[in-house]
Amino acid sequence: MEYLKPVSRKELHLLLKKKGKNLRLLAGGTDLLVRIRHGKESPALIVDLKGIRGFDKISSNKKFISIGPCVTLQAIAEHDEIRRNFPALAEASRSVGSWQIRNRAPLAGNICNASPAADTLPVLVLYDARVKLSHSGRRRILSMKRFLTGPGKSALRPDEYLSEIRLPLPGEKRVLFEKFSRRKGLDLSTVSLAAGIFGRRNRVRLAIGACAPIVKRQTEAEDFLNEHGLQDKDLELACSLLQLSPITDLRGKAAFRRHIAARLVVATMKKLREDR
Amino acid sequence: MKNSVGKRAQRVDGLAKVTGCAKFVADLMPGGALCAKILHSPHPHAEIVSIDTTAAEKLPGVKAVICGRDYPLHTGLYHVDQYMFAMEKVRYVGEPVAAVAALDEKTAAQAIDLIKVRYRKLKPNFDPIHGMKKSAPLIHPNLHKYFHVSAINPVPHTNIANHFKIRKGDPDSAFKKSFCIIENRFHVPQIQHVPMETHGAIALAEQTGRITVWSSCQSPFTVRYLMANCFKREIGDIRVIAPYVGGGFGCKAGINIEPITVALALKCPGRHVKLILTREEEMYTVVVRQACHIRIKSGVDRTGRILAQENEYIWDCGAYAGYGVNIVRAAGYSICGAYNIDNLKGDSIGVYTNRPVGSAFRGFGMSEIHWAIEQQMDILAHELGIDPVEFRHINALKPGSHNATGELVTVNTGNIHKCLDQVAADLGWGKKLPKYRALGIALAQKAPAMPNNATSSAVVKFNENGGVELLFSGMEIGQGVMTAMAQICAETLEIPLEKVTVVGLPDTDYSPYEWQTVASRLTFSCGNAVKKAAEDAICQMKIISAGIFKVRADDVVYKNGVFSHKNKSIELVQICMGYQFTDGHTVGGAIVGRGHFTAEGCINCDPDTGYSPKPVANWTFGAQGVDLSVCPETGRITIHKVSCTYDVGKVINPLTIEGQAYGGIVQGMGAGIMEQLIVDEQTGMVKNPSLVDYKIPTALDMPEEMTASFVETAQLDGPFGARGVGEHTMIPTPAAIANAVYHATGVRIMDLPVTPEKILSGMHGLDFDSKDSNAKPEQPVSRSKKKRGRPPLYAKKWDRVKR
Repeated sequence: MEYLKPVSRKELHLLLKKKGKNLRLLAGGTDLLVRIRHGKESPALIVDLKGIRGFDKISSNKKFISIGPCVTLQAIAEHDEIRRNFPALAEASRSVGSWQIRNRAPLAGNICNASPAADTLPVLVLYDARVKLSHSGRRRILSMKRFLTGPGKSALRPDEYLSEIRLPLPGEKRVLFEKFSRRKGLDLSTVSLAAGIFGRRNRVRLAIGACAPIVKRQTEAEDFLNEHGLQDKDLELACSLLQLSPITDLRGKAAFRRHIAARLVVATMKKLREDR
Repeated sequence: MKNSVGKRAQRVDGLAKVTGCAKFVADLMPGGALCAKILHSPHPHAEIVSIDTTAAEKLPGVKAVICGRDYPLHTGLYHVDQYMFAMEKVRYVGEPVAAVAALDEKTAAQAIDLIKVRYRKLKPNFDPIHGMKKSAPLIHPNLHKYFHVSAINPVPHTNIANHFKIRKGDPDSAFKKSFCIIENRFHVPQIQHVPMETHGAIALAEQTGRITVWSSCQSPFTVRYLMANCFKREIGDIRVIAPYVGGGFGCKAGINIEPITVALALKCPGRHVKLILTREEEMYTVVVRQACHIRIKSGVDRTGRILAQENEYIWDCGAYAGYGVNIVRAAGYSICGAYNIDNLKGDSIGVYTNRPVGSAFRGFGMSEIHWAIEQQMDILAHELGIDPVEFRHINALKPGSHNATGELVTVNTGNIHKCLDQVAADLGWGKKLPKYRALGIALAQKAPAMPNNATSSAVVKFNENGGVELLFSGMEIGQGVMTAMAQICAETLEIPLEKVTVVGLPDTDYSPYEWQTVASRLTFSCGNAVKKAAEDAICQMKIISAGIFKVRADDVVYKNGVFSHKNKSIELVQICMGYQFTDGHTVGGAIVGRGHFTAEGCINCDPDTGYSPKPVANWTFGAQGVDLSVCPETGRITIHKVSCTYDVGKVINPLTIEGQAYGGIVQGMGAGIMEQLIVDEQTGMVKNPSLVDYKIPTALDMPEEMTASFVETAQLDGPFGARGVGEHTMIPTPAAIANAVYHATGVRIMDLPVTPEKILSGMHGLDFDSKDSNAKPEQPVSRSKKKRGRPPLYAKKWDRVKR
């Protein structure tokens, strides 16, 4: 196994161009190294992104906050501007793993890993985050909806890398992140949920994690709530419109996940209703 | 200077541990050490047709490849039922089949892959109740040929590794007189110890025939003894060195991976062979806590007195029961918990299955049986309309009553009623709480489960400044034994605690003998040995000073480091290395005190009735209560407060005993609400062999508040009156949680652990097992509807006969 640590974007682009198909990018390693140790992967070449200047920076302009590919979850959880504008993202980032993991693992990795249970995905989907995928000479910007293509699958091509995450400004404070897991710390979600009320028109947005192959907005339930309001009976009815196809695994049975997802929707929307 | 015992002394081992100076087996890096790896069985039950190691042996860098045929040797403590490597067949997934020593880890792993084993699959059995039937596959066909200690009763030509019986009074006629009879079944799953440090050992076989082992173990002397038996060596040929241990909780009791490292080392003389288990290996290839199927039938009168009871514990021993048989025995003589029941029929039966090997785990069977006993007591109380605390007062042991084996309880045995009242007061028993919030209480009793001849010894040797080096071989596994022994030593010698240096990392070549660090026995047993060693030293110095004073030794008084007679006195520091007169001539010399302790008068239980006037050295009683609330929507439990009180005889160190109490509460809480080893009943594989899917509590999961208090009813033969409490603190936690959940929601959960899923099933009648993935989530049913009438029960069988 070969390990390379480029120090510039140029070097990275060159590596991707030459050896894109046989390499794996490493930013935190909290997923990759575990997979290698378990023999699920044995890449010929590992390219470490941490040496490239600027990759660990968070910057902003009038339109969006931009997060580099090596910005760790802990850095996001502690970042003032993010906490002001996208509090639920800070919250979701803080709920991932442990201190040690969050100090190592970048948000970009949580996205690229594309796990249906990734804690930051429901929030990113809700905030309408975009990802910039770069390639020597070219780049494209995708919505989360277009980026996530299946469990563990994304639109990222072998010769591309995720170079930036964009969170459109202004953010929204009226967003809550909820996580149901077997214990309070250092656990994967059995069900996760992000719900918010957006803009001057108070539009409801809702996304549920760990209950379907792809994390996406619950548009039917959103439409129903936007049309009917947030009364108790509306919330219960909206639950029947959730698009969920959970699996049964060690974290929870499918029917249990459905039940918890519905109860979290009701509980979270009630909290938001009081703030509206 | 009598102020060491009872003092909040800082841990003797604390600085070494927080600075990283403390070395564990994995930290030891002998030059040129070979790396060992084990090949594990992939089948739960299969005949071994052939093992081909030739390819592995040819791999460059491989120094030794061994399997059963190289060492057809047995190991086991109470019941010698296990080969070092599987021989004619494998009996669980994860059983060691072969092992390799190579220059590095990668080569060792490659060599493991090159070993070809052909198996012929046999029908496995994962159910101990089925295992007791004639139709079940025999897991140990040669059971009748195995050696076992006299207190164990295996049933030949069955899967029953031990059957312990209690027959007391006349339960049949007492049941007939009962006002109400209630029978329930409970289940406890296998769980894992999850010590921070996994098992590790390093072995060196020298050309002289000497074998040295560095092991992360709870019992270096037992490791040495069993290894000598196993390899047919003289005990003196083997030396076991025990560095610091990163947690044991029972899994490092007896003997574990040490023989494998020795077997490899014997093939590569002069080189160290190092084996450190991965977390995945730790989870199921060594030992786990036994599972248990429990049935309790109780008959009570109108006033709430239990007239008769049947307790049946069917233990899932797993594939081997070398240690587990003694848990079966311990559950047998403790069969009904801390209660006074005159008519008892008890059966504790250990059954072989094809699950991972069950063994010692903090509580040694008591946490498992109390899960059932303490819920049964709550159910009886509820049925009779008696307050659970009051019901326990009516039935708990008190001076004059006889416990399950017929032993008389006296005023010195320990006061469970005081513990119960203290916990009830700490929790505010009876206070009004919001909906879905409630209190639950449970009692605990435990005795040190050790052979009647288990012995401890200690040595106190003086230095030039009147201080001592204290030698003993109780292992510091986090419980604070080093500190407690130093305090007992300083108190007895009447010298400042700082003058005692604990030499507490045993080396069987130099350290005094200790049977094992198990059974919560060290403060009691090793503590007595230390006290006696200190007393012995004082006695020696009294004799010397008597010669100087020209009086009888009995007339010399020792107090606060000074030997005196009337107006003559000599300081300890003047005499501990020999007393020199002004003209230069010297009497006496370097003082070495020695002490030993073995509990007196313990008698094996009668195999037919379980009767024994004194089955164990002592009993420690206690109570624990939980204040929790349940989220009716998600079933999530929030634990607000846990309070516990134990009658420990004497608190040697308030700081470390509180640590023990809080640690036990949290470990009990893990077992109570999240832990469970899940075995796939098709393949026999453990489905959650990692910390990703086997969850133990983290700092965030701690109860919001914990309190610990202690009653001090002196143990007559304990050091300063002390008895053990290390394991007890986790015994009542799961049952107290289940009782509180019942009072909060009306849901009685009899199958450990208490999960949100089970709570929701019980509260709202939801069936999460339904295959219909399109089923709509059901709405919660209001609690008031459920509360009336009989509470809903999450139990498979619920038999009730009412007269």
